[in-house]
Amino acid sequence: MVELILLISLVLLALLAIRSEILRVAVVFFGIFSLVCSFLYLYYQAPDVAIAEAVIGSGLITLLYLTALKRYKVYNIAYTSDAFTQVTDRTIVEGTRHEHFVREIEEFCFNRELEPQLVFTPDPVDELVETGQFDLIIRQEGERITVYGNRENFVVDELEMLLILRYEDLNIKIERFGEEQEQEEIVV
Amino acid sequence: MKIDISGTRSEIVSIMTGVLYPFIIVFAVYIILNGHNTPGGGFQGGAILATLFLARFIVLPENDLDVHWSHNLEKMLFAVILLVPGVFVFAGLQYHFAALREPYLIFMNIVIGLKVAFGLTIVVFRFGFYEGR
Amino acid sequence: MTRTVLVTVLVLLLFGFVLFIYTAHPEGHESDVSAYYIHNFIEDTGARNAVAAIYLNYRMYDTVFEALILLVSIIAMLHFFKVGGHG
Repeated sequence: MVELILLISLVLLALLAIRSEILRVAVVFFGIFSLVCSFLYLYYQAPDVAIAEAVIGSGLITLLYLTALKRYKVYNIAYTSDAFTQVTDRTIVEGTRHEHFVREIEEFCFNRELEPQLVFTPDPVDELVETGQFDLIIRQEGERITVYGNRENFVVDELEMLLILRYEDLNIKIERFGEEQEQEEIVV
Repeated sequence: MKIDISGTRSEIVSIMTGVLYPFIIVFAVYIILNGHNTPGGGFQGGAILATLFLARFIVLPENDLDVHWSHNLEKMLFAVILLVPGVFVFAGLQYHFAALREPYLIFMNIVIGLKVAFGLTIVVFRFGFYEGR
Repeated sequence: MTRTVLVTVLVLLLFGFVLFIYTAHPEGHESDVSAYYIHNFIEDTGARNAVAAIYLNYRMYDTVFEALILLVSIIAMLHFFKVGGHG
């Protein structure tokens, strides 16, 4: 009976891990799969293999996958404005359409499983570009909005489409910074 | 201007890792040293030791492991793994010194455990701090 | 849709093939070597855990090459994952 339950849950967990839309959930299902697998080894009286499976399958592999996912997950946005002191999280949530589109960008990131990290800063754009920490810089001068996207980031193109479609009336200017894409030189 | 992009540190995870730390060490040492009598052995114990460094990596992501030093140490341990059984098992020394059989097992378990622990730790740290595309 | 059906049929065929092999050629559980290991490992190696006796004495080649595989994979990893600063 125990064996049957473990075997059926093994198949179910494997299917869940494959069919999950969100990658982090799939990794967690894979960790549980490894744990059930190690219980099954213990049931078949192979404690050596059970220890190795529990440690490597549930511990090391899960954390390596989560590290790999985090590698591309954080999306850094800088927001600079002339009226820097008046802009807060609150104005972005409740404010006018000019401020509200930042919220839209954040939602866009959530849908892509990215984690937007918004930084308010009074620094000029050039300095922000030079730090190389940001994937997206939003500059607001009164009514004029300029969005600077990092060339190395692959989501900027999609974001550009979204802004053009939804916020046509705002006349958002979109520019790119960063190095030009070039063919990598092959050193023999 | 320095901005912390690693995210906020979780208090719960830090404290629980601190509580679990000695237990992980004791469990790993037990598995390695008692591998010839109870289930376990060098590989399993080494993997548990590697999870110790992994837990430390989660709480405190600092790249302070000297990779080349531990890599050289791992190579030396592999030489020991190659030499000691070569003398003791393959050359047939075990048939003349029956009393050394159990110390040989314990010694080999320790060496294999250290080698696996260093190897997996290098993997984790290299992977965790790799910057690039 | 047709792709899913094809994959399903292929997987079922493979499953049947594996099941056929398993039933047509049952593995003998009592060979001479395993019986010898089970009855003599305590005197031969001094270990009370049969698994340790096998992977540290009877099948030492296996362990040596397993350690070699781990070492080679780490060398390859150090070669491909270069971290800035540490070189």
